[in-house]
Amino acid sequence: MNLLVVLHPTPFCNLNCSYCWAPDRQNTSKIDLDSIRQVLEQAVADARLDRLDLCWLTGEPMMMGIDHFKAVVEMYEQVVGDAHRGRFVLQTNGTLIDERWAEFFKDKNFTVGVSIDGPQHIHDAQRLNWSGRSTFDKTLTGIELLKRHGVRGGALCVITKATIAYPADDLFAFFADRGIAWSYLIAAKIGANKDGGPALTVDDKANLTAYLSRLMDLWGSSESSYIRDFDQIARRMFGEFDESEDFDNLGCLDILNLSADGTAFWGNPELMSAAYSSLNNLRFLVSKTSIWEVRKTSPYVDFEILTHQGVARCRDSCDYFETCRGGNPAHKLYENGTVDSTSHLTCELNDKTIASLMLSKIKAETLVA
Amino acid sequence: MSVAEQARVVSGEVPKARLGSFTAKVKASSKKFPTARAFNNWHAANDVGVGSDCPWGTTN
Repeated sequence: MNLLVVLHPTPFCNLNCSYCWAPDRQNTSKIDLDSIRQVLEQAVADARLDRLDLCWLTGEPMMMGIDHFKAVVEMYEQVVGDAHRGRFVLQTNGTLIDERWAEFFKDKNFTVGVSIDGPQHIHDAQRLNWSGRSTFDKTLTGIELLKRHGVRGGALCVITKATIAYPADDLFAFFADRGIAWSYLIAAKIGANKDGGPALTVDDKANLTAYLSRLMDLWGSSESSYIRDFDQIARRMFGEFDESEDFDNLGCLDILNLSADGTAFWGNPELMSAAYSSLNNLRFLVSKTSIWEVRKTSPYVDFEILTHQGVARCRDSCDYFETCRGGNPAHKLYENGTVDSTSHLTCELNDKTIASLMLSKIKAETLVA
Repeated sequence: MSVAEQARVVSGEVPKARLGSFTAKVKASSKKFPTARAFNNWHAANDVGVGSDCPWGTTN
């Protein structure tokens, strides 16, 4: 199996984004390197492992300091090395990137995703620091440093009510003018953002659909433009795509999340809040329980069955399965109360919408041709 | 018929030379940055940000 280990090295984040799903973001506790070593050693000890990717995710991982990253990379080289080599990946708000960090990311071949929500008036409507100050300039400076050093990665933009209040042309131009490949998420009521914040609702569907349609037209009119979500659907419609139905992969059950407190759980990282509440029985201490042994325990097996059933329901009932691949378990849980379910708001607002838009635009051209 | 199947059927009926520019873009995009295997089916773990073969600057 390809294993993705997601480190949540500290809950703390220096930003207070209005839609964030990550819990406990003013808690400054930090992960113990021994916990990471235990996970890596356990991972490589099992014959099922093919490749091990390592991702730093929430809160703001760069708050750990560069020495933490150097130590983990060195540990990875010792424990994992070439036998199971995967990628080093970081998702960050970008505000702490300087020359030293950019050189490090380039040297260690990191892939870095930076969260930025487009033009400053949109970005600053939702991505402020704890003092309520703008983070736009620092984020953009960080991106420019990564580009200048040739670090692989792209931008991640959250689309909210504030975003669609402005023309899609503005958002497209922001990234296109700067040569930034990007992806987007629709702000959703999940995790710590379960009350909604600026999340889009079913009432926004018509406006959002018009917005995404225009965005797709702009993407389609530019040979070199890259928007992950549109390119991905294109690949799933026409490209070489692995269509095997690995339900562990489709259900995010090959992702191991490791928290600052030394506990871990298998599943979609956005289930973090649930892992400390309704799914508390999925968490385990890596110092006491093997990451593989826990997959034989009844709480995990029960969760695995429900997750697989949820993916199967999508496959058996939805015309969009090929382009979506089974929905997002975290959205299913937070919206429907169980991962053994199908459609959720993001399916309706985005996933089905952009697939339908792409099909309708192809059909329209075909009729004209 | 699924949405993806419809797209393949519709576009497949059109000779390549007569493909519209949008369809041509879609088909070209489908060949960019091929991944040997889908990354974990976690939306943030695909292509940009996590697990990317796509470099900064692709849009230029």
